[in-house]
Amino acid sequence: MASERLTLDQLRSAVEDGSIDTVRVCIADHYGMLRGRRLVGEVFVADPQGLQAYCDGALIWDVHCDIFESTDYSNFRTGYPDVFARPDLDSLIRCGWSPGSTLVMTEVLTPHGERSPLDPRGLLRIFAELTEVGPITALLELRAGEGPLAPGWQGEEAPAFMQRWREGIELSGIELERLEWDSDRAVLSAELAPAEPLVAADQLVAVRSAACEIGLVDGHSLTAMPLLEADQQPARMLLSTATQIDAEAEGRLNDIALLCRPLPLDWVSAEPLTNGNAVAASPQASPYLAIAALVSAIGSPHAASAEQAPLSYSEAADQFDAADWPREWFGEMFVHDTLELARREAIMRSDAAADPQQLSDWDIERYGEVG
Amino acid sequence: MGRWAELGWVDRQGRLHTLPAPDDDRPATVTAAEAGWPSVDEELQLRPDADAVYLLPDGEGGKLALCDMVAADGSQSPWCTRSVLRRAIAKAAAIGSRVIAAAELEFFLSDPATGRPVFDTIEQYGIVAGERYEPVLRPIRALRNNGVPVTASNCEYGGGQFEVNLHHGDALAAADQIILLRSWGREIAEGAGYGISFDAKPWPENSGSGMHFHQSLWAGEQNRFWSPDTDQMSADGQAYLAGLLEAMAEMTVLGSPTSRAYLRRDDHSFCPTAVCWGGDNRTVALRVIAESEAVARIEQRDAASDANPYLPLAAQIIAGLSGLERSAVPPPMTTGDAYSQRDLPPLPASLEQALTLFEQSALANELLGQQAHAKMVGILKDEAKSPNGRARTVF
Repeated sequence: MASERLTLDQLRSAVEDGSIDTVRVCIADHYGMLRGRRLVGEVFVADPQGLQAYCDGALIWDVHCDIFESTDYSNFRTGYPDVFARPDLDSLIRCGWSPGSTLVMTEVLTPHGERSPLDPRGLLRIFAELTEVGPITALLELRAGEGPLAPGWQGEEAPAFMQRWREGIELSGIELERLEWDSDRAVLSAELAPAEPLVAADQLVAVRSAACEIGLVDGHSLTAMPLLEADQQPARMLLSTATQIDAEAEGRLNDIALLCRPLPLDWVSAEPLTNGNAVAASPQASPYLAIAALVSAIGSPHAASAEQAPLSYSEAADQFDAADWPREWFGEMFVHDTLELARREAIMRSDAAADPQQLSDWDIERYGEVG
Repeated sequence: MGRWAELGWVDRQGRLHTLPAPDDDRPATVTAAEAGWPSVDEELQLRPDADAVYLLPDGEGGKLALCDMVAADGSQSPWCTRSVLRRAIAKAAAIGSRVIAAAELEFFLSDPATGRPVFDTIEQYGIVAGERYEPVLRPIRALRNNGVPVTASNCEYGGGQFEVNLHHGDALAAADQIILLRSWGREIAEGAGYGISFDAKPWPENSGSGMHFHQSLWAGEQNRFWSPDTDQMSADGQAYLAGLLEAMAEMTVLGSPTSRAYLRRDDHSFCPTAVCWGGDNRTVALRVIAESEAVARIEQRDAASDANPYLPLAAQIIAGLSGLERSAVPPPMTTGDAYSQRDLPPLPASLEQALTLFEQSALANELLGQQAHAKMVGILKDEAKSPNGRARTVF
């Protein structure tokens, strides 16, 4: 069920024989985008638990790394100090799509050695330990934009791309259920084998990054935007568990739907958030936060606040704000800053786009590179 | 081929020049004018530094020896900037201390066809965005195999901007390695079809590029900046810090020698605009990192990435040592947003302001010697008023 991870001994051997020269020491930002440094392999193996210092703004900046003053966690008032990323060696994988590279996720710590309250991966780790939600099955859909993977393309580049993506994922030790290219929808999808929540999120981030990196290097335009035209069936990040999402859990998911669909476009053509035992999150969402939402909704004993599902981005933000239990689970600062981020995004889009239910060039430019 | 294939020497602006090592014992020479000191009519001998030998990155196995430039009679020359740093380090050694330094260096990659950065969006720490530029960054990291101890690279806070980190070590080697990194990094980038710029501010609308120096002072195995009794910065560290603060404004020009470097100095740019220090705070000029003996250090954040690294680092060392000699006491720590605190003493906002302070600086005179100090002031004044001067740097 779990993927085949790279051990530290294997990494040491690979660095020694020269087959690996780079270790990406990564954190994931609010949208699950991989951030970090590429370390020289021998530097990493010399101190595999060594801390990497990153500016704390990385945990709460917007989709373009813009920092802003209304967050409590990270701002000029506190001077943008460092957070410290400690490698989680259980997450070490080869980057099969990038020869010579490996990737390790980290635990993000404050200068005092405590868990950063805004680290999405740290939140998921806690929730997964607190609850007994079993393995997560994840389906990730990504949309082809302009270029050879766009609708109507029938040549050989899509199969070639899919082959590279498949090989990259499999060489990383991530177990795939299936990988498909839907030419009618111009959507690529990867379904991953069931995995424990933290592992599933790590894999989703890696699989999404692999596609985007291959696309970037080969000149294919790929995006995690759910849609490029308002009437399209949205691309999704479908997360399911063996545990049925009952009415109470569904209510709690409605309270925290913003974490599954964190950007305005996720609400332009929204299908129901839950369906049976699955959550239809956006491909733009952080896999850590979307799975954390699912796990906490199932595992939390609190009563839901929302009586119905939010139908718009602003409703999702308002419901997240109105509910009490997420503050207890996710923390006051996380909730506050997530809301600041969302409300700022809503204002920016409102200022730029005339019709909130239509897509504009501004949307493509702003959200096209999320992932 | 002798002990080394090439000799390397560095001009006033911090550019590496090389020439084949002579086959015989005759010393290689350059003129002071070639070394960036126009109208100085002196011949300088290149004296290879056996402790500064690096493997050339051409794969041929040859070695490069970096050189000090000395006068024809073998005495110290005022025109050798590497020797300026060597003298500052010797001053520390005279009180039983070794200066350990490390640099972070920022630069941009550009598309030669457009002259624009390789991407426009900010991709700080971006792993996906960085992948496309691995044909440049990976060989730069591999310069570690040539003796340049690169530890890591990452996308920085500007469109098309990157940062490279170097492992800490002796101060002279730390500066040498910046020289080599810039020179060899350029060869790597251009060989991969990209432009590279270490300019302080290549594009007005984009971020600037800095050269942050981390530094500490060691007596044997003991970090003099750390107090084991209090688990915080020692009195020595505080005195050194006070010295850095006192000299920062008058020495600014050595780290920011071009008019463009002052375009970096803007509110909320993460380039300091005031003489101040703080803890882990990116808005101050001096960041004090004092969590343990192993890591206790001071980071000075004002120099630009196109500076001659020997000069700002030398200036920082003698400034710090000056504070240490006098047991100077730093002003209170700045907390919060230093850019919004208008009562803090400002750093020079233009090359002209910086030159005025530099010209009057007794410490600069001590650092460079009277002759080189006066000459540098004259050169930079000419460049500052010349419309075709150093509006854009040589990097």
